[in-house]
Amino acid sequence: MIKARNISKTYKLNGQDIKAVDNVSLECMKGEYMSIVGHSGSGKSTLLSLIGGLTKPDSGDIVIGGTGLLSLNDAALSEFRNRKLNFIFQFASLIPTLTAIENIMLPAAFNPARNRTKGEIKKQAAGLLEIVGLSDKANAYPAQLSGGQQRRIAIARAFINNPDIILADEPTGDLDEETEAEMIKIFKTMNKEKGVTFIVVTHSSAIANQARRVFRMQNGKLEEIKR
Amino acid sequence: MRIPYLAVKNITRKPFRSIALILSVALVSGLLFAGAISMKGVLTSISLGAKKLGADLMVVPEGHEDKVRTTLIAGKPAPVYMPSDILDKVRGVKGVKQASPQLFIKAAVYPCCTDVDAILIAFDPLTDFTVSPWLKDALDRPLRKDEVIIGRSIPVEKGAEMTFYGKALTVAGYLSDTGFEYIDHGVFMTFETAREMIKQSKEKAKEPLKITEDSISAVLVQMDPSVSSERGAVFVEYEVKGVRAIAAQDVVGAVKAQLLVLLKILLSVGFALWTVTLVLITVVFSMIVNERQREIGIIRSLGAKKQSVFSLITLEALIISAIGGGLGIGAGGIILYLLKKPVMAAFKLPYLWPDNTFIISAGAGTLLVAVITGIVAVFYPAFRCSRMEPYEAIRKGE
Repeated sequence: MIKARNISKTYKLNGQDIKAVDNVSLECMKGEYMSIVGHSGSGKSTLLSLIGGLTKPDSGDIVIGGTGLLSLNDAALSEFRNRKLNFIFQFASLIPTLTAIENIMLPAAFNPARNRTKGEIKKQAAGLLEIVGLSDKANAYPAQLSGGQQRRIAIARAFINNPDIILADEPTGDLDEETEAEMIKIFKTMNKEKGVTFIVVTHSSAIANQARRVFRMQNGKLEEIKR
Repeated sequence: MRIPYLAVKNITRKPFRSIALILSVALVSGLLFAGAISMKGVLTSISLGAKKLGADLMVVPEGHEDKVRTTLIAGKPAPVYMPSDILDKVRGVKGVKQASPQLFIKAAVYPCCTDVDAILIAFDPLTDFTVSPWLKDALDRPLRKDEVIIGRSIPVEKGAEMTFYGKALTVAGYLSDTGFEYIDHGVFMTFETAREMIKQSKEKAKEPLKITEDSISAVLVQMDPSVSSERGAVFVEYEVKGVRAIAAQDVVGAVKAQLLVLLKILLSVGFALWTVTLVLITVVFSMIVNERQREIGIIRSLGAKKQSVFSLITLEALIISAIGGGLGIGAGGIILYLLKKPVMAAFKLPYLWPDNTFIISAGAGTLLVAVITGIVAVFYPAFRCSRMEPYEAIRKGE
């Protein structure tokens, strides 16, 4: 379903070229749960952003569900992102002016073509809040939530448009072990019951071990860890 | 939840900054709106006044033309006198079609209304062609002896009595508002009434009037259509010694010249403030965009198009400038309404509040300028951030 072929990405940092992703190829089947591990700065986040169409590779090709991302213009790519995939970032990624439930509903605001009423979206957002255990915080602003709670809201937001793919970058970084376990359970449920594809970048062995396949990123190169 | 909702939420994020931007737009809009209303008010007033004056020329004693101009524009009574035989001389000048005398008398402050100036104006109903036509608007019969018609700035009811120099006069009617002080502060009476008042003042008034029986203040002249006002003025001054002929156009021209000075000041200040506001909005929104880079990256990652980001930033500026514009128009209008009299008096300009159509048009125009200012000012920051690659925005914002 996800095919990345020979993708490379180089950044300029203080006048020096940094090759964040170096000729990486990757295939991920529909409904697969895949993990990528590696040190900070190894290029994991850049690889995830390339797969998600947040940036374009210098070379190579990325095809998701038969759609070549590089062939899409901005509007089509944005719509593709909105409909097909979603991100969970390693930092607090909530919009500070919106309440918890509004943050969860936000991706739906950019997709008016789906013919869902505001009531339906709100109902779904409330359901997701319940799943992440924060029903009582629906009207709280991010500043009124702990780091862990904010992360759980961001996870709930990732599912509002019923995406086919979740690209998660250190999704449980701020969470305690108990909450991390709950989140893993949610991921597994979504993966098994709804067939959502997961590519998870993580330092957590607990999360990495959930994956059928685990990859290591090192100096921009990707290699599968045989288990 | 839609883009406008996000825009409003963003505006309320830093209230002090938003209020500062709103106030700066309000200041420019208020100045623009008040300026437009002021200019229109003065122009309406002067053109209406000149029309109501109804004469091509006003012939006055030489050396007193400035005083008469002040009387016409500012309504400050400046009694000047000349012998009545001037009237016949003027009638004999080539190109003069009609001529009628007027007499200006400085009114003693009348008992009821101590803080309002009035100018007493006598006219000759038999030869008059300037006052009579618009007296018909206020009175459907000839003005009788001991009756007066008053301007709108004199707060006396129809039928009431006013006493000047010991003579009681009945208010037969009042004229509509012109903004032209000569008319709005005028108390119009026949020569017969005025002569009797002068006579009685010697016995009844504390300060008797020292105006001789044969005095007049001005001769109002209507020229033959084939002779321009300017040429008529030259003819009169050439043929009648000791007088000056003021063309109605001169009065309008003098006011327009004053107006031009006021307009230049207003435009200079307005343009400087507009430039500052434009730069301010651009700088503030550039800062806002820099502050929110990561958020913009996140929104883009959630599926927002470049166009949505551009719309979001532009809409914020549009809302701020529209609120600022609205506030400015409201505040400018109120301040102008409260201060129009002292300001116009300071500039010695007549003033008439423009009609509602003009006020609405000026308000809409000002609002449009405010909104366009906001959009123009924010265009570059909005364009720049909408073009940013989502991942680059997220990384730079970290």
